[in-house]
Amino acid sequence: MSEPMIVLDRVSRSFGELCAVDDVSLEIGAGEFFSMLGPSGCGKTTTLRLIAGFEEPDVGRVMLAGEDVTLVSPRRRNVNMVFQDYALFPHMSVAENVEFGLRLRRVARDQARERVAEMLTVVQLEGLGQRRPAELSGGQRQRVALARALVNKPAALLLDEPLGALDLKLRREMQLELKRIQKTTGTTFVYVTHDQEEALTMSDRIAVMEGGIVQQLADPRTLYEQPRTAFVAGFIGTSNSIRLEVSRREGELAVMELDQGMRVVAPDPGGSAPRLRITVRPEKIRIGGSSNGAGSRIRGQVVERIYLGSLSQTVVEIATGERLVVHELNDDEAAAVAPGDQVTLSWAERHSLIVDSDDGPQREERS
Amino acid sequence: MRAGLAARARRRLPGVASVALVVLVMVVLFGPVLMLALFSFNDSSIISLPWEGFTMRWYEEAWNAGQARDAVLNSLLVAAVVATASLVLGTLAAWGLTRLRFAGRGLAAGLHGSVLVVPWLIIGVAGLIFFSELGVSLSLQTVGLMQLVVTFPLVVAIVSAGLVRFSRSQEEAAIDLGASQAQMLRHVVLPQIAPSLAAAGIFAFAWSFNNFEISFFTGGFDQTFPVWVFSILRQSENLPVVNAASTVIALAQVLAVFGAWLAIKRLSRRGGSGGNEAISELMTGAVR
Ligand SMILES: Nc1ncnc2c1ncn2[C@@H]1O[C@H](COP(=O)(O)OP(=O)(O)OP(=O)(O)O)[C@@H](O)[C@H]1O
Ligand SMILES: [Mg+2]
Repeated sequence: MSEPMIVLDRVSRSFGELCAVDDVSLEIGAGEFFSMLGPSGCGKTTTLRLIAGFEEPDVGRVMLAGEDVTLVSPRRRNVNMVFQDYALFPHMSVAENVEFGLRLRRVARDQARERVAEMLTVVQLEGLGQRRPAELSGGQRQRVALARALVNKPAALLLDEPLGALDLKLRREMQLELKRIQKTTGTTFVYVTHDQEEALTMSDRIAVMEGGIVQQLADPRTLYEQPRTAFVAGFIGTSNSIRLEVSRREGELAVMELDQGMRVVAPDPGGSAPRLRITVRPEKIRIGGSSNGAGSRIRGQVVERIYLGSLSQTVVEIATGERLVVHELNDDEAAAVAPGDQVTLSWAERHSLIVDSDDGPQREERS
Repeated sequence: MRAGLAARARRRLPGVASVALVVLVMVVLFGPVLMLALFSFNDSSIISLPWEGFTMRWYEEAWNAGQARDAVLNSLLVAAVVATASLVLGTLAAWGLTRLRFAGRGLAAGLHGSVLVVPWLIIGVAGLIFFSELGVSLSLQTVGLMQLVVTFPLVVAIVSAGLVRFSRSQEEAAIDLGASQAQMLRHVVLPQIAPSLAAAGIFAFAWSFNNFEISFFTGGFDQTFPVWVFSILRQSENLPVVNAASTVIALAQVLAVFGAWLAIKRLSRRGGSGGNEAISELMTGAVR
């Protein structure tokens, strides 16, 4: 990453007692598609508004293209926002909406017209310039909101759950569309969502937030395969977490012995934690599988089996009462199991992801 | 076939019933007024049957009565000033109440609302006592001042209703795109609340023009139109003249409000919302 476009430097913002954004530091690169992901109320919108200038941080600095803009008013910041409800001006036509920012900055009339037409082409709304927002579909309004922001050539575009109001099919289409527009214009996108799938498919990097804190900031693959905390593991993908006593440590590995020769093996996180919390992704678990080998083997009873088209999902309850979800491809090798069956689950040791150890930061249990 | 007819009749019943209801309400509301208007053309000094023949005499007399014309001009003047002042002040207050956060905001809003239900008679008497305590002599100015007490909250009520409906994020979007506060108000807020402003202005004007109680107590020797009507009615032979004058005034007001309704409808459509809002704006003002 060259010179970062946006820097949040130890920024905090409280509302009364509540710390909505708690000592957050971020660097967002030029041209990056950056997402903020987290549950409702975790501080995503507040962070975005701090960048836009609609909120002022209690402490910390906001930098934009190398300049400190902490105290600069939103109208003078070279970023534009796409609001969740689009906030289109209903009394103006589509073209007038898009032209609004240019008119305020006194761009010459014919030049402004040209840029508006160009932008309407980018968002595929040619020919709809004379319509009123009320005469457009949800997806089209979304595109107008994008065009209205992008026509100003902002250093970064801030999007607050821009697809939240659309139905699933349109969401999928607009996800691809947004990605295409981002590539075409080369604009830095800061994208807020609480939909993990959306964040995973679109982003270069994702900041997973909870309680005003950035829990982990990484690219989608790293977040999925190496979640650092139980929260991240649970929020990205299905959480399959079990908590076990460490029996012994063998070099790089921590081994947790169970009854009847069963055991779970995981990469040793170091330290001397007596217990570990481990997550296994559903598609990494095999039903049956080898009884020798070095990996993990654990017995349990099938409580549920659901056919999902290309996949079958099996829920297995193990001796500790915890449940593991297993995804299998429905190919010829798929195991034929039914609820009530005793099965052995197995997975390679590198797929045991340590998300918490008892000497690490204590986090509350999540069901 | 029969069943189909019956079903169709049943389906149309609500429509027929609602039209009948509207007609009934119109007759009850406007019947007496229309009767009076009719009798203003009757060539008799008592307002009752039999019909003595058509005449324009009462209109001529009303037109030639200097006092009547002065009273109407007084009312127009006061109403114009009161409407303008309450529109400007009321809009600012509505903006403050809906957009700024300050301690006692709810209390302030409640106070505005409660003034709307205080009887005008009491406000008139209160004004009289207030001005005489201060030693201010009564005139059209004191009338205007006391009328402002009731038209101001009216404007606040109508304009706040418009502002509350208005989406806040549009304001932020305008600022985000580089607008100053003034530009945001000018290009985004005003065009959209124009129907509310128009309705508020019309009703502030009408309330002021039609007000009797406040004008009566705080006007001193200056007569507004309703006060003139009251004063002259004490002699029953004047009845037809009053009747003629009132008919003209009423007709003018009905035409003015109807014209305003058309204009507001146009404004609303330009503002992106349907004409239905125009009706609700108008009804808000018409509650008194
Ligand atoms: N203006 C405000 N006044 C008081 N509290 C606020 C304000 N804005 C946000 N908060 C609080 O700050 C916390 C974070 O809010 P924020 O809007 O940033 O959440 P979010 O992550 O965007 O959630 P969502 O996904 O529901 O939009 C919430 O608990 C919220 O109630
Ligand atoms: Mg939010």
